[in-house]
Amino acid sequence: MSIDITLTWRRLFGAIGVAALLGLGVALLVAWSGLYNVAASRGHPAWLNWFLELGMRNSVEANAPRLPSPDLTEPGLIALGAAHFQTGCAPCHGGPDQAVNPIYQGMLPEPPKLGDAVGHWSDSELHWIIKHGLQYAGMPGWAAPHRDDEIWALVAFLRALPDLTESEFRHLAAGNGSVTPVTVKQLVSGSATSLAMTTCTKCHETDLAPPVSDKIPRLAGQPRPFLLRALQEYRADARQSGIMEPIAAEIPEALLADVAAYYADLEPRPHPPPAFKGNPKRGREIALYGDPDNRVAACQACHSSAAKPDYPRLAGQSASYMTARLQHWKIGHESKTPLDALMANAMGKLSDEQIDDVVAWYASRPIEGEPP
Amino acid sequence: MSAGRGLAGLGMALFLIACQGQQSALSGGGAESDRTLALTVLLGVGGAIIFLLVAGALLVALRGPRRWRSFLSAHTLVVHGGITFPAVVLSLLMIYSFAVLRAGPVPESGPDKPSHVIRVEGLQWWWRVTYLQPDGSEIETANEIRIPVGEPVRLELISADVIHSLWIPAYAGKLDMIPGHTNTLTLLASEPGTVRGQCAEYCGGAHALMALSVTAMLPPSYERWLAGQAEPSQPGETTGHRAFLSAGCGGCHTIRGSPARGRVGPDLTHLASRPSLGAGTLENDAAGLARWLDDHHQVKPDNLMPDYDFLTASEQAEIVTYLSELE
Repeated sequence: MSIDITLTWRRLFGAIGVAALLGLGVALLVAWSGLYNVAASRGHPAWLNWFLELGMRNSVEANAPRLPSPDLTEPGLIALGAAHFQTGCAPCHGGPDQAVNPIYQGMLPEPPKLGDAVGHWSDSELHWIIKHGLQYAGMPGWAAPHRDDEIWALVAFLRALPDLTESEFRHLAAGNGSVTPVTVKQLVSGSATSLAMTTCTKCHETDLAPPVSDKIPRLAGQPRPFLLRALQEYRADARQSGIMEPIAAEIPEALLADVAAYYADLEPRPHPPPAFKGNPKRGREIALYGDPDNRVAACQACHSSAAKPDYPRLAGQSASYMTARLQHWKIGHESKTPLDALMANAMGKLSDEQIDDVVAWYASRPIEGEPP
Repeated sequence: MSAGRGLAGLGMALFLIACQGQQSALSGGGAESDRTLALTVLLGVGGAIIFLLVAGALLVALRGPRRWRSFLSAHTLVVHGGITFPAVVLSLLMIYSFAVLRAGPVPESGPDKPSHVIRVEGLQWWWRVTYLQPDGSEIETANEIRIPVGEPVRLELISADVIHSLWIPAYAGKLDMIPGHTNTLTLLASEPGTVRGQCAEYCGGAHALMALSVTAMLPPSYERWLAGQAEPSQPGETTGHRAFLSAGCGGCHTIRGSPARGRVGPDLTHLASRPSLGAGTLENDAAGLARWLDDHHQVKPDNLMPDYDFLTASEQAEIVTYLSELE
């Protein structure tokens, strides 16, 4: 008797099939039996670490689209990124002025110190990781996936991070907020004033200083109902922002109206010389009369100080912020709320050039209430 | 009653409605439609007579006495009845119809020279109607044309976006409104009355709800009406006026005599004097205005006005009161 051991295609595929079934069976057996210990405290065996790392690295590389990045050295971008990083990222990743709390050190895998880690990634890859998060690593995706502009602020900050000293970081992240160290009394009594998620002045203006970046709106003197609506919409995930949504979620509901009132009552500061690129004269025509041929409504009908307090006043508003908002409506990302829909409709087919012009007119106008 | 007879009855009823309604090519309200009606009657009656003759001849050819059948098969009858007669009749009809429909360029001078010029612009999905005055001034209104009885009126038809077509069956045939081009149409109403017109070229979502009314008035009342339309509105400083302005309605609508001067949507200066809302969609009364303001995308789907359902009930009511006073 002899056994035929000639290799044929038929036998090869048969063997592969049997091996695959066996493998699946073993995997099921392991999962079912509880043999594999999922304890985070145990850590990953070295081979699994290597395997996961390989998969993650190549997956990010393969999935991250190559995006044109804005100027990542812009101070306004870095400041916003720093403010968000301090309360949004540093608890897990640590920062120049804070070690990772032991609670988060216990995560598996342990979140990397970002000063060292970011060098491995390209700008687009960092952007992709922040936007989508990472499976099996506890890294969450961005709360507002369409807000690429906000994510770039984080990328800009991460690029600046390796060169920041502890005190530079603290001042950058604090923005207009206080950097005075907490006293023992404040500490033990629970009234510590260290910078929290809800410290608005990390980015927004105070009675002494303008906002830390021209990418965010000036709030002082805006109508109360408009400010309150914005906070409520952030809280309800109706208005999109990965930075403001977590903040609005942290503000106690009973205080929302008071926060709105605080900024409504804050005296608008005379603004610094405006930075814009459009033509304010042409912009004025659009603001006052609209552009019927392109179905553009007259902006001033809603954005003058005589209009309903549900609409924002635009005189003296930041050009960069207004341009970004208009572009969002133009692309059609922001239309979840009735007023978003109204705005997207009212701007009609406003061209990029017209956006620059009308933004230039508003940015160059004195804040209403301020002498012209 | 069988289903077939029911259907036939329905068809007949629809046909009769079409004959007498406000939007009928057979009502003969003006010079052009009178001529069209005459041509229709001539063709209809003449065609019916010829049809009966041919049907009779066919019957005779199949069942008639041999002598009649041989008469029908004669060579002369076939040539004259089958070739000469249709050639002569059709040629005469063609010449007559050219004359009736005034084919070719419309004479700009002579007795037909229009004394009134109205520019009608088609937009998605309404009509901007502008009365061009001899002194060069313009009086703008919307979704309604008024013309004086017995005086030729030239309509200049233009479009702001896509191709529309103005069709006022009682007065004239369809004429396209083409972006970047001006078409002209002359109306001459023979007696006072109000008829309905409609966009007759599919122009997007709300095309079916793009109608307008055309009212022929005796010349003195027409002149009075036009002088009234030229005036700004006198709304006064009411809460409704303030609510209208502060809600931003003036960004798209003009109310002459107020700061509202938008030109994206219809001019509302004398809104309350118009027969309908939403280009023939709703009755123009307080209930219609309230319905429009609260729910116009249900009433006229796809129309380009934004939703204002976030206004409070009292703001809506104030605006309705204000608009219904814009006589």
